[in-house]
Amino acid sequence: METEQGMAVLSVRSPSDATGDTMGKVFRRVFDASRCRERLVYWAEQRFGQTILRQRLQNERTSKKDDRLIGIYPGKLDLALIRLAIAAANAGKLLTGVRWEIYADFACCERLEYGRFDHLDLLGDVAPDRLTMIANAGQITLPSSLDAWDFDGLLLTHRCSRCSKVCQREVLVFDPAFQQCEHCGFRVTSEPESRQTMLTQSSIVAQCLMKKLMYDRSDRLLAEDRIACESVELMLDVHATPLFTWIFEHVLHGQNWSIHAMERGPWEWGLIELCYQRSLFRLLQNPQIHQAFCEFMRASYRRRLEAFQLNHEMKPLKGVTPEQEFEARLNMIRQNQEEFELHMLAIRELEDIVVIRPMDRNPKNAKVASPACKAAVEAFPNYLEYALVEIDTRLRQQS
Amino acid sequence: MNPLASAHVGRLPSLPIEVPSLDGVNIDRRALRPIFPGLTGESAIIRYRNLHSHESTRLFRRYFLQAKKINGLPGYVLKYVWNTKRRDTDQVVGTIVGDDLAAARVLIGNHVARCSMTGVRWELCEDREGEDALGIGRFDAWSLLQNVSANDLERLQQKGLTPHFEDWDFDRVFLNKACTGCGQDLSVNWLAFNIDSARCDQCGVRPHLSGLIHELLRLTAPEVTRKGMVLLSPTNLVTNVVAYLGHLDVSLDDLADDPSSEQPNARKLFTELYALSDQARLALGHTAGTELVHADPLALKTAQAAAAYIKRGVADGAFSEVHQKAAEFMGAVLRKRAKPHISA
Repeated sequence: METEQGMAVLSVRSPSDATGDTMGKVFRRVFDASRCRERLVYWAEQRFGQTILRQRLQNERTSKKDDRLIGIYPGKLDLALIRLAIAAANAGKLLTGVRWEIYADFACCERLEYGRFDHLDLLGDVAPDRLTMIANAGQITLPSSLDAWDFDGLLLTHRCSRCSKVCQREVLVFDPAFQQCEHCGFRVTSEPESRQTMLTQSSIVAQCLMKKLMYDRSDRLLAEDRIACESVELMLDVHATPLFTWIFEHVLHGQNWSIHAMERGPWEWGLIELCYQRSLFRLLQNPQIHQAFCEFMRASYRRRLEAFQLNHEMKPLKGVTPEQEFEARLNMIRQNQEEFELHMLAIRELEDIVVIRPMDRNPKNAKVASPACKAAVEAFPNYLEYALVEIDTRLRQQS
Repeated sequence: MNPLASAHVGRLPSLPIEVPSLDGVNIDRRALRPIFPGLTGESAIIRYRNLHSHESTRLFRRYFLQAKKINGLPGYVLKYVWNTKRRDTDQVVGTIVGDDLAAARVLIGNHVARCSMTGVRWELCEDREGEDALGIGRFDAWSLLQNVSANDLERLQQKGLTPHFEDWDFDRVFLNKACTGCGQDLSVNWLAFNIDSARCDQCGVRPHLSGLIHELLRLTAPEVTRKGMVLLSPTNLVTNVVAYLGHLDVSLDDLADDPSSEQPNARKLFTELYALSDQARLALGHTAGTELVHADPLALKTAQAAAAYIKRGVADGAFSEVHQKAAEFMGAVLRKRAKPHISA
């Protein structure tokens, strides 16, 4: 929100404009409204010349009192106004993989509109003049900061530690360790000062993310028309998994894994456990999902190998022939795949360390993660990133 | 696709009653310093309303209308649902003759007058369970009086019902205090302005500033009186106070004494403090010289000039923005973090 003398200027700009097209487009394709696993359901009724907007909180309900009242707006049903009210009701939340739906009746049979939570779907075709008129009428309080419209958390997780500008536009998930800002050139080096700067800023981001992940999710309903809900690709949580990795790496590293030990630290054990429960690590403890994810990633590696063999372009290097370079890169992909298989085996012990052992309050029974498990956890943001890129590639090929 | 949509949210919705200034009451507007450039009382309230909108609020107070004959006329009893599961705990807020929603809104506002209600919304319903809603909004005058006209208020006034607007500051936006000089009631919008810049429009006293400076100087009083424990370095405190006073464009005369307080005279204390730091060879210019003796000569010269400027300001008793910059530079020098290329 910028301000002028005597006038506040509401500027609803595109988060994808600020964060670069790559991230915004990939997120819109992978977490498209038609593929979302969860939804927030709203319905509007006309009464005494007013539009009453409510949110459906549960599938089984008998009367309107079971729903949450969101707002009352004078005049006939205006979908632009309703969409803005939905944005105001969810301002500042992380809603990747959740879609909004507007219905015209209590039974929620007549769907008027649906879309994903971002400015493109929520603002739709509302012209700036119309937005000004709605805002000045005072019937609705519009989320005025850019962060309030950042429903995918992209602006939060992609800030430079030094200049606070959006950076790493090609990276999809929260991963501060490899940060290099294209604006000020800051990058994490072995120098204690740069590492401290990164850690301080990342700690703030991690705490913000954790607070947002704690938001009550009881109002979310499962999407009934989800096409491939069983597929692991729709269960990817792009925030909880990298956040748990960060906590694992920088908060829990080298510590005794017991509630007793953690209670003395600044991070609450309950929050860390909640973060774990919502991450992909927890999902992978299910054998079927574990198998599905492995298959998905193996197919991804196969496709990458095939693509590399077909379309490789080797630049001549000093002392290395193109054939040697080709072989080295091919081996690297194969080695990555082997590492992935090892990591998937090692990740199974995480449940024991994070959930089962801490239940025992005796510090002697606490367990320290093995080096293989640590390596697996630290590599997971990369796998999540690969998975998102792979889904995006497949979707583009389909379309 | 709407990549860039912008709207000018310039004004709050109009109200049917006369509203006091949203910057504050009985204060000198020219002396006010916004928290960041361009912020006004109105725009700060708009931002606050957007941040705590009723759409995103989870807590609510539900009021409902129960049909009842009032003096033989059809009317309603406005009730507040204290506990949604226990009907016998409902509180009667007031009675309304006829279908008068304006009266209901005013009654709701008066019911929670003087309470802090940020993060809570009001709901007005036809029934106790909240199935048929008549109105919803956040607790502020712009929401409660949204569909109320001036005629409605006049009509209600004849019946003895008036909105107590002065008690409707549900977000605690205005900080009230009696002027320590003349006793006049002052209020300042602390969301928009630095409260220390609020100045009484009658006697020129800055009641909040006096308290703050007293509190700051109290920490160094042991240094002056040589009794008790010394908490802060006098030199650091002098530079901090000068920088702050320069930011607010005030003089030492503005540090009026609070008659009800037992604290010593702020101006006298400050002058003694400065003299003490000078006497103890911690004078600003001398310190700057020792810190920058091996540094850039230009920076040394700048520091000495800044110190001399502060010295003159202390002697004259008035500070401006230049003093602020000079004191900030001196503070940086004293913290040994001054860089040679920085100029005052």
